[in-house]
Amino acid sequence: MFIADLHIHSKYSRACSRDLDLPHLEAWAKLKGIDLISTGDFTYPAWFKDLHEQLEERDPGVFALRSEFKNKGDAPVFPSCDRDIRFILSTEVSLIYKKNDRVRKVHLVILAPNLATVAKINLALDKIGNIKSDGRPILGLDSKILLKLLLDISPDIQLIPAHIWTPHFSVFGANSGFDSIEECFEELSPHICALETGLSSDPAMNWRLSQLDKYVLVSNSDAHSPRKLGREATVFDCARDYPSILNALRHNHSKVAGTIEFFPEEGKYHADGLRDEQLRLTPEETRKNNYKSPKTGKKITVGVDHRVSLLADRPMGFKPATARAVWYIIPLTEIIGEVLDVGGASKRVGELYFKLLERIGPEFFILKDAPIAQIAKVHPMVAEAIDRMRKGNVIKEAGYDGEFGIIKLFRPNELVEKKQMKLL
Amino acid sequence: MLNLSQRKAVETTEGPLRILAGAGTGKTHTLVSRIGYLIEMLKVEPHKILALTFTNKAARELNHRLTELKFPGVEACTFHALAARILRHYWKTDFAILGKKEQEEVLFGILYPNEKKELRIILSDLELIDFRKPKSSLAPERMEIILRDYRAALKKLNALDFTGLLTKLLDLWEEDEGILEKCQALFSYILVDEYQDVNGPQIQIVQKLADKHRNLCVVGDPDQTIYSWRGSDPKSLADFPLNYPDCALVSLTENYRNPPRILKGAEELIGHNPERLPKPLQALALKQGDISLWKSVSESEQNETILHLLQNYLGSHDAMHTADILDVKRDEEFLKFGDIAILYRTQAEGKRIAAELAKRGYPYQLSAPEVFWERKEVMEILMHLDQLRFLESFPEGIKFSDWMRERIDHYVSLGKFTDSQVTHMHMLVPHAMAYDAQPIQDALFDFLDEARTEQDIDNLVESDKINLLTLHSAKGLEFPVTMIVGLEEGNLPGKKMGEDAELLAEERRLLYVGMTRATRDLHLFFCTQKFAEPTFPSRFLEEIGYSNMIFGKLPETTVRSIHRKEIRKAQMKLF
Repeated sequence: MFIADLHIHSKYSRACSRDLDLPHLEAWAKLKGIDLISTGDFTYPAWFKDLHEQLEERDPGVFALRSEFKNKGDAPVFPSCDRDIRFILSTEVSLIYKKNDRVRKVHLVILAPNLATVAKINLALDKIGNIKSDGRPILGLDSKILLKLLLDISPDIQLIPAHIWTPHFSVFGANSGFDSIEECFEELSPHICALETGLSSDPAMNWRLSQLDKYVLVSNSDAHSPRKLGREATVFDCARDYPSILNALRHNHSKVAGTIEFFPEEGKYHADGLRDEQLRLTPEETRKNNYKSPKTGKKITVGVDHRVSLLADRPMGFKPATARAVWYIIPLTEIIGEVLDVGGASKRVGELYFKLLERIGPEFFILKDAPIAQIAKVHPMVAEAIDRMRKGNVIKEAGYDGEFGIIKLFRPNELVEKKQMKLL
Repeated sequence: MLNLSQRKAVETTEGPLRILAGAGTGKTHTLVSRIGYLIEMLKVEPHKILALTFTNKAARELNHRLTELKFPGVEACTFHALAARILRHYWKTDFAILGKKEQEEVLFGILYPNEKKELRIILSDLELIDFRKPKSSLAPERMEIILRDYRAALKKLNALDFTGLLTKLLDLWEEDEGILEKCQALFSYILVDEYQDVNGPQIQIVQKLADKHRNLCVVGDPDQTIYSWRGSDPKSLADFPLNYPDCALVSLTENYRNPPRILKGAEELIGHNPERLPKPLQALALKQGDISLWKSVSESEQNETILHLLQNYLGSHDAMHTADILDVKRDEEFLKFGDIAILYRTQAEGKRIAAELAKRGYPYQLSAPEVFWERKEVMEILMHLDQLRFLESFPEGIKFSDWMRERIDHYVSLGKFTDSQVTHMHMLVPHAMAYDAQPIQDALFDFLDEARTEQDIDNLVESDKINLLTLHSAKGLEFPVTMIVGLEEGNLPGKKMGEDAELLAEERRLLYVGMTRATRDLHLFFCTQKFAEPTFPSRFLEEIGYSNMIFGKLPETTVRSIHRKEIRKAQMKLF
């Protein structure tokens, strides 16, 4: 089993951390507990050059950082987190085009089997658009035409629709997406085998659409900074090389053990509602109210769950036979922040975060696998919080109309009460 | 479906006919219908119909439309193609036709070294010697010698250039009446599209060819003559009835393309041209759409304004958080990249806008790529530079253009190149200077990027891009959203044009062409300062009429953030 993050960005993508270079990626993958990490942005010339210089192929299609580049970043190095990191070649492209009289905005992840193939992809895309101004290039190209172009370069290239429910920029997006994979890729649809759930959806939401049963669901971070690597990830149960991963995605879906997921309610547009009126509605309530606020008659902003419910042909809670395992997580810094009652970016959170990692192991191990007793030795309340998270004992208030959702592990005042109990 | 005047234009088949077709009045539709009418109603054999166009592109488009409507077999071609065909048949088969590149090579061998830097100007002087005063700095006596040598060189090569094709055909007809008669018998109906763009020899050719049956139909819009600098005669349409006093006259005046308020402004502008043929256009499109005027204190503010407008039309295109702000509560449909055109007077303006778009990740297409970039040796050196991107460690403390000059010299020393090839490679150096402010590697990337956009005209896969076009190359096209930049005195109209009535009229027509491209919204831009020099609004703005415009205003927050950026930039310059 290994944990993979197939979709990230480099420092050459818009609005991305300057730290996103290969040494930092490796160091943070170790801290997070990711075994296989995407290079991201392979179309960007300077990044492509870095890939050439700093990586070496270890097994077919997977790469290791050359030793002279290791530990070059400023990330802490803990023996407890040490592991062998592999890279896989991938990138994301943003397509904006008109189809059937509507403007579509779709983001797609491309996996490539080797650097020679990447070079060919770059050459082809360079002719079509500008790949030198952004790590994630924006092309006025139809998704299907891109897929055709990629398959002509190599049948081993895999296209994965990215964060498929994001309202903007996705295949099913409410604002500029499609109603089915077939509407988007037409006769080439059989070449799509995997879909990325993205931060805005979890597998349970996708299970409501029988049209998605034939796809294997993957999850990735789409990280724009090293600390966000692996905030969602995919667990594979196969050899850690490109052909095996391709086989798992295309043919043998049981080789995908499952996905590590955020609670989608945290997203800013999960539920329906109106921010001005602090009005949060379920899709059913919105429909009952005819998409208007019962108080003021203003148009309700519909969320991702609503979009899913429109395309769904199954009730909420349905679980198909093809379903893979799901691990729900909350980033460790957020858990610590709640326990300490400070912001996730505060210094105290950082100190405790690294202390936990140093004593116990990588973040995924702590969140998913470490014995609660072991965590409790470092910090009992964090251990209690992680235990609740693993059991799904979580307080959720869904986000709506631009308002972030709230995911909490303790009731209001519960922490204060516990502290007082201790004092007594 | 034809309106009354279109119907008259279609059904008046016999005798000379002049059709004045204003912008957006369905000219091509009328032309194609006329050909269809000849074939279907009058049972004219398709090969007896000749349709002459000004450019290869127009000929291709017309042929495409005719094939689509199942009227194949009609001859739609350019004057040059027609002349070449006739000459090969009746004169000799084995002459060569020189393209621009070969013409330049021939001329290169004739000029003195110190004249070579003016090669292109001299060449265009030679081509247009019958139409305009030479523009190069050479003395008239010297020009005569060059012309003589150039013609002798062509003769020795057994070759004709484009102008030569036309004059040779006229000479051949002059020498041998029999050949003329045979040619006259080839076609019984002749149509000439874009008649406002034809030059003297071309007019003579159609007149001679149509002399027997006189079924000559010319179509055009004198208000869209923008090629008189290339020898076009702006009076060709006005003079037509003088040559054919019995000709029928039709005016297509019902405009289906432009929103009424935009057309009104355009018509008021062109109304300032003297000696126009009356052709008042009437807007039939029931479309909303305005002329917006944007005043900026600098070119960078103008570019920020353009970017702001693009965001409004296209929605977010990069980051998801901007998508949340821009796209969520929007009812209006987004446009695609290709729905938008940014038009400008000079290539230099276009390149600066292109650089801004590239920074924000917008895909764009620059118009009018020069043949220069397609030269073998130019492509070869570019490819060499391209390989260097990853191999070379780049020196510091040397300017990019100097570095490139060295690389070119080195490359030249490795192979065998003619003098002219070496010169062409060195012509890249001035292009490189634009990037001298950057470190060499960055500069190289940007430079090659630019070079590739220039070459990139025949993509196999079409992808959608924002159109960056010169006003000249926008002719015949239409876009929902059209933006025209640089409406300042000295730019549009250009410096010299402002002082000469004829040139000024042509500049006005150029802007008229640009304005009538807009099918939905038209945005005009002017700056009060450019390159730290004050600039003044174009006189054309007043002619369009400020009452026909709305004054564009950016949201306060955007203006503040632009100004903050400007101040930061200015401060950076201090250090």
